[in-house]
Amino acid sequence: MEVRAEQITKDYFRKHGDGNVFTAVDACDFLLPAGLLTVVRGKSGSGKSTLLNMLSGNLTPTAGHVFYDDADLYSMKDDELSRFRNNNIGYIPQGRSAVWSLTVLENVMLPLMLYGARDEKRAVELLERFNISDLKDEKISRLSGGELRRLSIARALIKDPEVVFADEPTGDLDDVNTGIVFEELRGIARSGAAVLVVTHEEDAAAYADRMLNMEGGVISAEDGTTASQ
Amino acid sequence: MKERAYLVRRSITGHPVRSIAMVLLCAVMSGSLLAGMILVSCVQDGLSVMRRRLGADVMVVPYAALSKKNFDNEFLLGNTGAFYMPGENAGKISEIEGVGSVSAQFFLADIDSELSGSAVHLMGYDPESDFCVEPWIIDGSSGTDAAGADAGASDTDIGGAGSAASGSVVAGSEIKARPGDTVTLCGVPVIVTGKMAETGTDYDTSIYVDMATAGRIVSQSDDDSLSACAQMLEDGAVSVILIAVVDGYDPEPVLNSINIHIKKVRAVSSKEMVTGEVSSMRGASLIITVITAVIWCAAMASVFVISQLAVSQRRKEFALMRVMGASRRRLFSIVLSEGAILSAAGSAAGTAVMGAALPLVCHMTGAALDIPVSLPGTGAAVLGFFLALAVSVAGGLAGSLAAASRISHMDPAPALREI
Ligand SMILES: Nc1ncnc2c1ncn2[C@@H]1O[C@H](COP(=O)(O)OP(=O)(O)O)[C@@H](O)[C@H]1O
Ligand SMILES: [Mg+2]
Repeated sequence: MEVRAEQITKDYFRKHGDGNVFTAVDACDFLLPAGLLTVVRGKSGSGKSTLLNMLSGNLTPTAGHVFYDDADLYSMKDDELSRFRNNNIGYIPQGRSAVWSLTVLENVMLPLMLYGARDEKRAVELLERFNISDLKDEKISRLSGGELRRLSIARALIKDPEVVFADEPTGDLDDVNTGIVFEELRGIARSGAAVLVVTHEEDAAAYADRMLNMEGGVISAEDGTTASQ
Repeated sequence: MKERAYLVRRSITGHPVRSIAMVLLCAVMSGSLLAGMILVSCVQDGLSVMRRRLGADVMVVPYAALSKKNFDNEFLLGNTGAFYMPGENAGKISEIEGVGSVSAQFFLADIDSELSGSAVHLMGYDPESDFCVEPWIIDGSSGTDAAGADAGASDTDIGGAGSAASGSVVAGSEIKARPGDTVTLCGVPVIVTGKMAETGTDYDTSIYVDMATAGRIVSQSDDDSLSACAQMLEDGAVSVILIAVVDGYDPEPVLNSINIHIKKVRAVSSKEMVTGEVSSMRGASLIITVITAVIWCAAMASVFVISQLAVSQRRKEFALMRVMGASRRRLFSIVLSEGAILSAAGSAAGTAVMGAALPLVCHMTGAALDIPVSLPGTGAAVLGFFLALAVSVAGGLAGSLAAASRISHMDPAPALREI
């Protein structure tokens, strides 16, 4: 599955400042191809998270469209869009994110459980793949930052999504863990998924199939091609 | 469905403090509501009990009794005190136009007895003409029918020591005696013939004996307190004359002509006497209603606050669920289910506990506010139970509804970036 954004813009309304409107993402065209690890790099505040959330169906653009193959994401009703996200999109959020009343294993199964399903075998497989299977019955509060991050990746993969988004997935990790995470994300892309990572870290370039820069709400490609190619 | 129920369950058990607080608040809501409703109905029932007790429309007492402090109240509760007037008054009164039934009662004494926790009011009455005691008898009888044969014998048998037989002896609900029991009144044994229902008034701690038995007790007893009334009894004096007016007659003119024609007495209308008590019971109802309302509103407000806190504390978790594909509706139903379970559990617990404690609460309220109360019937109690349950479940649900609606309308993306 391929993700295509046409002229997406996000304006935020601010209480202070000129005009009270701040454009975080400015009329971007963007293509996220299947089978590749695409990295968008930019300074903090450049609009990366806003872009990622619009692409992943979690933030309605002020203007423009997002297409998954031929499906126009934001023309869907909430029920349909939610189901679509659940089935097709893996999302690795920024920071520490988990449901604290559930165990590690249950957190990995969360996308399934929300729709009444459960697949412990698959969840354990993923935990093994990310080396945290011995923590499966632990409370979330017992996990280190690196373990929690690996848990969020496992959770994003539980339904074998065709598109995966990761927001600063190595933000709070050391070099070793950063390497592991990027290798995994590249592995997911190799298996056919479209993967987008947004980060402010330089060393992401070493793992990226495709590298883009973001500044002031505008994306540009380093090699002179455009983001929509 | 099973998995979502599991999510809800974990969310409840995973936040025990909040869950317990919510359960307790709903318990307070339903408990206070049940108590308030039942208490108000207790008080109101007490009122109707009093009105029924006053099967007499008019009461005639010796003028001297009027100076007695709190006369209305005491008398209403069946306690006339040691005041007497000639028995012929009853005959004279029955000739007055509009007067239907007439029955006199004689105050013997307030006695200390093991039969009751408090003083027992010993009253003489006339089972033949009585229309006030009889309606309350639920067990046994006034005894006149059974004892009819040897009633005459007992009149002459005054000196017969140890003879407890014959005559009518009716015990109030709180008197520890059943029909057939022999009880000792002022040292004189008598056989209980009837037992009264609970009235919530001084009736409950009274024993009514027929005038012949009263005479026997007075003559056989060596209790000093009785010697004072011995002569009165012999002379045929009475303490109170109870009057029911003929159907269709207004008690007011009847009462006036009694006051004009009979000397040294005072006729009072029951309605007039009840007025004071009624207003104090209205006051009690109001106080109970206000207290219930205050507790209820406070609990309801807390339920709202806790429900809101419960979701705002977990904004990020709910945002995560949204991002993982939970629709607004799904999130709404998860949050609402949680609230529904907690408020149902709390409300059920509250009504159950309060239901068990109700007899005690009713009695304590009656004692504290100094008003007669009587427990509601099963029907009213069950109705109150379900009403309290339904209303506080609805209250708890309203709190969660507000929270669920707010959380399901949040934008997940900004919520997720909150640390
Ligand atoms: N909900 C919001 N309301 C107002 N301004 C926002 C909001 N979200 C983000 N912004 C602003 O938009 C800009 C881009 O934010 P973001 O997309 O998070 O950048 P990045 O992820 O690159 O750090 C920032 O200046 C930020 O302050
Ligand atoms: Mg960001």
